[in-house]
Amino acid sequence: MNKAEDMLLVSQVVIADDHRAFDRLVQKYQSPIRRFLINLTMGDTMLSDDLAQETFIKAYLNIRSFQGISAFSTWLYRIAYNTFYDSVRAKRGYDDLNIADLDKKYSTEIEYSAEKNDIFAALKLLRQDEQAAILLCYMEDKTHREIAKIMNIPLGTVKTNILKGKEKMGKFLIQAGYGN
Amino acid sequence: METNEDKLLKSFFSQNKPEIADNGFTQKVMRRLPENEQKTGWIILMFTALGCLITFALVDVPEVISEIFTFLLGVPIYYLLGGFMLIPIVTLVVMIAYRREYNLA
Repeated sequence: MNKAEDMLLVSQVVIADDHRAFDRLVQKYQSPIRRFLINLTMGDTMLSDDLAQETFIKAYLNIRSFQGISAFSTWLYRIAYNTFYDSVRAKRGYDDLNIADLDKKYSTEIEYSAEKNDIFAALKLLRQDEQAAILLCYMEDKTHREIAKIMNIPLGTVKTNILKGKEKMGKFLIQAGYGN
Repeated sequence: METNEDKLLKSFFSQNKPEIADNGFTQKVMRRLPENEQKTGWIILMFTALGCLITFALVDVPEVISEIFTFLLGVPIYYLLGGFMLIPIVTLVVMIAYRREYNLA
């Protein structure tokens, strides 16, 4: 399904409130959005699924504000990113946000493979904005411009976040034996 | 330019990029969506049909249609063309107003 087909489905939802068209959009994007949120919540599948559901419901309610300037997926990632940070802010004050505490609070007892644990261990080394930028760039294959739109930050800041995140993760992965 | 770190991260993330099975997720989302507004559309449809029936019963429809045609034939062609040319302008104004109302993102 390409961008034109996305636009067709979106227009069906906007004009005719077509639930079947929205169903197809959810089916198409549930996997990347849930994966993005699972990684942001450090593997908490329950929380990430709740946030993903909230993301799609917000998308449905505000679909008339989607102007089609950027891709539908970019718009959806932006909602997902904002939903995640809204939930974080709701749990605690944004200013005294402590990643270690959040990890303890949000982590579940679910067991992961060594590689998955390495992803979360590596991501934990990064600041939150670096985590999101790295995930969008390397996991979700978004361009720097798209990341700037999703995170609503300047392009230069995106580049800095990716550069810093890349350095930290690179060192960790080499030490973990991935560079061989 | 792609650095060694870029290659390392790309390779690492591409090896750990799972496709997540739907497992009823879409159904859950669809169940939580607000009710389709068009389910109440039958009320508007019913009253419109009722209005049409009353109109047909009270008015001599063929005579009204012939009067409309007679009137249109009497209107200078430039006035009619002017009227049609206003349609895109009015549509544009309505669209701009509509977008401003719903421009949330």
